[in-house]
Amino acid sequence: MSSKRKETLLAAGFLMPVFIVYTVFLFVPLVNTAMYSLTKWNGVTEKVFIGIRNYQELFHNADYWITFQNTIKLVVITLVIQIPTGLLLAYLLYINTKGSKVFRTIFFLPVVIAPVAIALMFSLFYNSEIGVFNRILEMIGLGGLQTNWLSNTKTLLYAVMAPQVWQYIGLYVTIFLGALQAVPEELVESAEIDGAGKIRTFFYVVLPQIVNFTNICVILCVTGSLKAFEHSWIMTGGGPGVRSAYLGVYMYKTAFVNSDFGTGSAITMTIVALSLAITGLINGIGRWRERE
Amino acid sequence: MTFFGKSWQSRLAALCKYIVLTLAAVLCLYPFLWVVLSSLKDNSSIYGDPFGLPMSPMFENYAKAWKGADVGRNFINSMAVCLATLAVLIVITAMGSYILTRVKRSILLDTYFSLGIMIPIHALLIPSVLIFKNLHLTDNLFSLVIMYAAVNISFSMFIMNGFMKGIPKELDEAATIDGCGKGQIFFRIILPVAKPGIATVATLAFLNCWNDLLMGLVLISSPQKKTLALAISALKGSYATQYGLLCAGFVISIVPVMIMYLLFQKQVIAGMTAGAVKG
Repeated sequence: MSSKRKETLLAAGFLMPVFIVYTVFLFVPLVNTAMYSLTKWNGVTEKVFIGIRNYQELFHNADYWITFQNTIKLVVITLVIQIPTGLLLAYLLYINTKGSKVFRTIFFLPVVIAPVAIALMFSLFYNSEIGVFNRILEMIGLGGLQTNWLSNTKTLLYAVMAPQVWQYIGLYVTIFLGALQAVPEELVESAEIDGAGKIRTFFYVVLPQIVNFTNICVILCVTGSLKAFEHSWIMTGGGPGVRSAYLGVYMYKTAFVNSDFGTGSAITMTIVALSLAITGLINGIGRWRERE
Repeated sequence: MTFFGKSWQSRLAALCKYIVLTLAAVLCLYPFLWVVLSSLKDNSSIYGDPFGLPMSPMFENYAKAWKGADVGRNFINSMAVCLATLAVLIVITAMGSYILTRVKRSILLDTYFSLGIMIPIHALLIPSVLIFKNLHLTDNLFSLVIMYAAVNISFSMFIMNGFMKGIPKELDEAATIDGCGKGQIFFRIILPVAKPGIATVATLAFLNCWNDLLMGLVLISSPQKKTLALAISALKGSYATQYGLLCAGFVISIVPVMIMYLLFQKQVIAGMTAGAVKG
């Protein structure tokens, strides 16, 4: 009896620290952000409850839609570039490549580096004085394409996206390589014995096996883009205006540069809602396809 | 099955494969190499010969960054915050995970702890500023330790639970027969066996803390308390035209992460891909 009680006490004692830290510093703040989003508040004076007016104003706010579009563009570009490139490189590593471990180590390296550092590095590459990109273009005879990457309005947004796309390809290589290595070898071997070439084997035998991992990668692309901040903030500060800002940057600017905590919280809540909705949707599609 | 025994098509295919892979590897590594080389140059040789080797390596760039730009202090701040965070995080999640996997299962609490995976750090910025203002911990590195621990709990519990579930039940039972209490079982048996799980959590949490910018931006303001990520972003403003120094600061900021990655590659990749599958 007393040992049972001792066990309960111990369980409570062991669980308490993690429960408290998690609740007080993660869960409660999240709920608070949701509540702040319904107020007009600069962080100093009293909060004034205004219902959903912050959201209504956001949806009529041109800057919000620009950053929204930039975020969607980032999602699309990361999807279109990172996933196929990741899959291709993973497949090349998968088909009996010597040194595949070394290649994987190299491809994954940028993933672990701080986005701040990567952004700093790319701003040096884009730099108008030492600009490595322009020098390289000149060297390979494409000098005509030289431009001031971070001020030319045509290239600005893509110049800000490039380091992010470049940095995280290795993550997808690694995920797909793990997925490919989990495909039963007998399947691939029997397809090859049946005379299907490497390419046909890939599309008809291997790809259907790893399609579920594609869902995970899509979710990662979406949530990663919705959280995007550092590259844009370091390279351009999101500017001029919000031309090169994502939702994350716009939220930071609104809350901490313009001291509008109410609207900042509302932007945050739209980020949270979007990532929950899209993740739910993709998982739902995945489950529905499995049942089919 | 030797290379030379194959048909010319398959040899050509293999050649193409290695060309693509090598090209990709160069694209991954060369940018870093360029920065490392430039960190040993002065402005005029970066302008004049941006792709060459540094003729007379300027190691003083590192001294200038470390002392002059005070990157050394920021480095120590980052290291202290990361290590303190790991200590807190590992202790609390190991204890919690032990209870939830081996003593009292609770689907409700499992679900509760997994919710945090979906929460972007942005959602915590505004409230955390206010919480630490009320606690009189404004501009205090301790606030970063708590927030970093909090945001890493979800994935840490996820990984830790996976490892703890894998430990055979017989170990606990044998220990109970020998007269060990639940607490003793945790410290003497489970904790040592769960080391690989702890290593994965530690590696990943270290990267997350070391690389974070946002939380630091809103919680820390005085220069001598800045973490390395904050300092690097400030370097761009104050040393914008001293390219050698900028590059040296960059190199200093990524060296610990590089070492960590090369030493614990298995844990980093296991953790990151587990993080992917949990989505």
